[in-house]
Amino acid sequence: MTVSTEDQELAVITGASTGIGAATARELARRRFHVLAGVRRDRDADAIRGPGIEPLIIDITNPDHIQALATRVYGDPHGRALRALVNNAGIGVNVPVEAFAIDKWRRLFEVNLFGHIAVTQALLPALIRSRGRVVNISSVGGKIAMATYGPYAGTKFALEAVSDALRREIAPTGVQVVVVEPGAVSTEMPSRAIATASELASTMTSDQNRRYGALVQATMRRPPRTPRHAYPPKPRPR
Amino acid sequence: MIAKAVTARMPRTRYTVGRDAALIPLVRILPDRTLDRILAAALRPHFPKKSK
Repeated sequence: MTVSTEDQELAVITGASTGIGAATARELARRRFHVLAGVRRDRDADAIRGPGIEPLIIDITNPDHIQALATRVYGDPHGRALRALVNNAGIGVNVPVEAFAIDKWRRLFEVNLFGHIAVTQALLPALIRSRGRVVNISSVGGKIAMATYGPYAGTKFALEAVSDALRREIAPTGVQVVVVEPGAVSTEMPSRAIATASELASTMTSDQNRRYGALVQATMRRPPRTPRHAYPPKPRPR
Repeated sequence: MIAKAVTARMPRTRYTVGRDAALIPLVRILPDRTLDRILAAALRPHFPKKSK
């Protein structure tokens, strides 16, 4: 793909190793963006690297990684403008409120909320300069909290609120803030969430097991297997 | 959809993806207790047999 760099713009997306993030990175590259694709592991970087896709190691809870991302964006060798930041990284987990240890609650908020805020803060000056856009990937869990969705929906409700406030704060700068709320999407997230849930289920106390054992099992049996209408991922082999 | 959110000239403030996400507006006007019953009913068939 030979795109002259002058008319090209940058897009940053976190959590680009699999699922929605990887599909979006490829689609944006296809639309002639130069995509800075945040992944956490070298092998994920190798997998996503391609024309128009430059992988960067970004754990959004790591300030050094965010600093390196900012340095890369502000020091772009072609001086390209940052069109969009897509805050997509996230962890799914299904566990009852009582049974999720408080340090795990905090860790989940670090990834699903504070990490996005930190990346947004770091790149906002660039977005303001280019009148770019923040796209926050929320979830149906950002609007509805089913049983065992307390931790996950807690982070996503919070992300929705922060997005609303940010949109109203920076509207005068011309920067748009957009929230995307996917429902059931067949990615790795549901199976990883189930793996985490079964792991957590095994650490529940006998009291908790009596209270939530059946609920946790029922949740594990529900998505991702049932939704025939689940939005299919669109891999674009190139 | 996300690429559209990135590139649309006049983006909406929110986009939903998939059919269950499209139900959000409907679900949000229901009273909490009604939604409690609907969600419990949706989960019930998946509970292990011999539930107490």
